[in-house]
Amino acid sequence: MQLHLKHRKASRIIKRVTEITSNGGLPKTGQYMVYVMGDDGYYQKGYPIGGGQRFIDNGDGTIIDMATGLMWIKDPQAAGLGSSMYWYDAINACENLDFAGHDDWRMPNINELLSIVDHSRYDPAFDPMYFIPFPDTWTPNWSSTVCAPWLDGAWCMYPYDGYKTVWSRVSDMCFVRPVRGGQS
Amino acid sequence: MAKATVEYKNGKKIVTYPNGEKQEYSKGNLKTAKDMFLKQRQKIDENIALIDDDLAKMVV
Repeated sequence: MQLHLKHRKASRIIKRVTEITSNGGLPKTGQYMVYVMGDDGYYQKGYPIGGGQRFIDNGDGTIIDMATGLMWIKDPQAAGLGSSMYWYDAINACENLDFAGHDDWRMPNINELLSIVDHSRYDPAFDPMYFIPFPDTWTPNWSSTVCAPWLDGAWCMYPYDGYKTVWSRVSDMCFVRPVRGGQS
Repeated sequence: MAKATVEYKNGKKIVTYPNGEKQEYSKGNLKTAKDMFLKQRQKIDENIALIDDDLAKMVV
């Protein structure tokens, strides 16, 4: 399948929002420890991470995030994406991927990628029960978002600590964790 | 493997990406990017120095 051929323009409806009715929203960070009153652990705001409320394992190699509505691949290595690759190759690999009955996989943008980070964890900084890590947690996962101050780079995330970093689109190779769904 | 090609012409860096996208960089563009990385490195170096200082003081 050719890159981008399958995409259709979605019609956009503009409406005034007078009431916040979303069931999702920003997820909790994962910090439960209170270091000082008023800190993240004190309020623990956001969509719950644990207790099976946020991530649903579909049993077919995919995971649904109830907070964002995104579907992720549980183990990209099982989907044939076990090698680090250049940014363009990674985009093409996602666009051409047919997995678990879906062919609309794509590379996540940086906000989507960072949304799975659990700040109470490291190595990896996400729940490995739902997101099987690549063997090397110091090689980042690509996002589809280009780095505005340095267009040769794309934003990516270190699985080790969830740190947002930028690696070269020209010369670096990273892993990729495809996603599907999301708002248009 | 899809690799970008890089050439330097008329004082500019020109990158052609595998999909045909062309990106031109002036020296100013690259200096801005370099400053961003230097700032990030500065804070990382400071944090490493703080840890080194702690380690040095933790004598058994």
